[in-house]
Amino acid sequence: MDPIISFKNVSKTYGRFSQSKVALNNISFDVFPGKIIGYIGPNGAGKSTTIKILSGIIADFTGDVSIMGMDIRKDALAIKRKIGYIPENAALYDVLTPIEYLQFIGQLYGMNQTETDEKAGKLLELLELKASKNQRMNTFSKGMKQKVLLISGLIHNPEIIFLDEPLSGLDANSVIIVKEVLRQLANEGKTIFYSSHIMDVVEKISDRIILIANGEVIADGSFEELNSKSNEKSLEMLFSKLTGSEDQTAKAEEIVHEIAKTK
Amino acid sequence: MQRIVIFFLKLLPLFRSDVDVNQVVQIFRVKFLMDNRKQVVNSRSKEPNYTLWLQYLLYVFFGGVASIIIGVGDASFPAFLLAYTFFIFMLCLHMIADFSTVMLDTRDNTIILPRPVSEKTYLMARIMHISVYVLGFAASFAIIPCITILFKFNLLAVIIFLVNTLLSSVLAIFVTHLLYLGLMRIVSGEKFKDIINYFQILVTIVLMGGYQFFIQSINTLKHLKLETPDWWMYLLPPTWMAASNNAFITFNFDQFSLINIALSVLIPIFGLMLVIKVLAPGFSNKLQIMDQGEIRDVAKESSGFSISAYLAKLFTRTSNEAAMFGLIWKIAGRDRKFKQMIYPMLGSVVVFFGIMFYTQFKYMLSGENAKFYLILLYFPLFYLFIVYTNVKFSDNYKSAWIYKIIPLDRPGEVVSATLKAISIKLFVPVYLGCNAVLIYIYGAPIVIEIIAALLMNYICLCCLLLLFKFDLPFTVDNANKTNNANMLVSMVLLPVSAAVSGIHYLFLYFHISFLLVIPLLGFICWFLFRKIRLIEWKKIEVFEV
Repeated sequence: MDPIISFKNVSKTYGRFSQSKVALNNISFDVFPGKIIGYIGPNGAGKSTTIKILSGIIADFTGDVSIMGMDIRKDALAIKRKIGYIPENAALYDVLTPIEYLQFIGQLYGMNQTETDEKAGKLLELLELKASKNQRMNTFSKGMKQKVLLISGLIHNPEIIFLDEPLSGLDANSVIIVKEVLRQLANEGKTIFYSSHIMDVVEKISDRIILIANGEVIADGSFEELNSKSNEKSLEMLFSKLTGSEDQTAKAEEIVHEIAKTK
Repeated sequence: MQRIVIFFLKLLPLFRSDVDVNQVVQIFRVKFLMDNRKQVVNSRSKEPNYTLWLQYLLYVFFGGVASIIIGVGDASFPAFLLAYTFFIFMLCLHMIADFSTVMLDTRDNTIILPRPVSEKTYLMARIMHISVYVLGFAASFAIIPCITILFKFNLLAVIIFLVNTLLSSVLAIFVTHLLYLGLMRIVSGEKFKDIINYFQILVTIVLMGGYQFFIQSINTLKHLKLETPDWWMYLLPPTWMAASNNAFITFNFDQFSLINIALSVLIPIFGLMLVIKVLAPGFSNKLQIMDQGEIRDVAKESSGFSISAYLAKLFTRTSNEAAMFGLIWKIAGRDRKFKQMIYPMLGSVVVFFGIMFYTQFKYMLSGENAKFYLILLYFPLFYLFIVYTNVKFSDNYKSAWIYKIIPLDRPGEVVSATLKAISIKLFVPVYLGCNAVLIYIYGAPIVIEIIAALLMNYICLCCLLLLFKFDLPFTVDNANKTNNANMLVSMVLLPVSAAVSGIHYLFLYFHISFLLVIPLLGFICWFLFRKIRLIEWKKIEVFEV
């Protein structure tokens, strides 16, 4: 089987000269269809950069990226029709109402208006935003905006879905729903590339976990495979071990000690 | 208007088959909708629907002013020169300042760029959006002058005026793009936003002082001689447009007119080509680079010595007061929204002084209007009060929970720290800087009077503040801001300013030395600041977080 995503020797540096920062350092991996990939790493590891490259947002990188056999640089438009992207921050045109925003997104994908309206209305209702669908989003909470973003990334029924911290700000019920939606989409053959800091969610829903740190892949495999050598109780513990921040108890003690200095 | 534009957009495939018209229409429609819903600083409406239309209305007013100049002047060239100078200048500043939020909407990176929208489609949508935005201003500006020109001259003059207004708009697009993309090449994203922020402040100040410049310029322009034009006149775009209009009105196509007609047509067209072919295509890429962020090392900027900490030590008494002083100091220097709100108020002090000196300088020098400077010493009290009373507004008003959490026994410490930080960082330098001109006119002895006046201003301010309840800084939602409070303040403060100038005049009249008065004023000032520092929670306005 051919990989649906091929990420080969990709490097990306931000900034110039003395202020430059390496975000990705020669990273390679392949992803196969119908899988949920948990993409994890500490803050600043390069997760969002990877997702932005895969979504065609960042074009100035070195290496080769192909999606569904198409080169991201040459066939960006064709790829973008097949993918969905849900960004980390609730970046949307918040002076619009959810329905206006989703109509706009649907139209950019060439969906007809009736179809977009019906689908957007139904999805908003399912995510408990029906009452707010005609209110401007600048008054929305982070979780409400995140729900609109989720819908906007899925409304055109993409083959591959890139999610960057999709659960940020969502309430517990919504988290359960989104997890289940992702699982069912994967069962239908969709590929999910999922970045998160919430380790137990990643552990539970991912078929495969890619762990990066300092712009490099430091572990790649299912949770069971990754854990077979270290035998940690959870992905959280394994994450700490692999990213070199094992001694959290000592660090916590140090913090408490520092706090206690003020009498 | 939107429908007309969309109609024309749908004709695009006739010319460009590589652009997705439906996407262009949708992007344009949404951008236009957002322009109209944009919250502008000082807007009263929480959910504005007609922001862009109101801005167009402002340009109708500008056109009305230009129309008066065209209508009343004998010679057409100076009148058109003034009208085009005003229009091009305002449009450029407006585009740089107001349109920056649209041109630099980095949200496009995550909303439009991940969708199947080609670079050419996105570029076309941007060009259409900018064009409609600017042409709207041009049309609004041209409405009233067209009527005036029709009555005063003829239909041909109206047509030439319209064409030249259109060309001026194209020129404004070119200049703005050149500035934006030029800046983007040489400065980082954050610095770029800072520069644009200062342009926004400049626009507000120019809007306040511009009309005075306008009136004063009429006399200057009347003396321009077209028979022997200076070389620099060929460098000014308003000259091209005005000379072109003038040539078609007088049917005098001499060398000066012909060169200017050629420049008025060729430069905007060349500029537009440059924008479309060279400058705009890389825009989305640059926008994306801007969004990648930058690490701003504030510690590096202020390595070792911290001026705010040093001044806090000098001017504050308690740790709470020092902490608040540092906070206000930093926000006043870093927060763009704060600067956008407060700096124009201070800028208006400079404008006020500029206008006063411009009109009164020779009389002050000759001793004809010797006591006029008292107005300069005391009128800024009005601005100081307005600045202080506006510090309570913020978009981040919810952060004010901090006041409710910290063990703040005397909230007066926050008030006095705010007053001190605002004064030392913003007001006093502007006040002293502007009044320094008085030293040139009256010599060094005036310094004593300036210091005494500054202290008197602060005594008035403290007394006035103590009459009302206090607001803590950044505790009120910006959306709740109205201009009614400012109106009330001006009604109260003008007589107060007049009264203290009267007291100052009495000191002069009875030859009471200011060297004797200053220690007394200093003591009163200290006492009043202490009184403010000791105020309790019952004197503080209730705020929600």
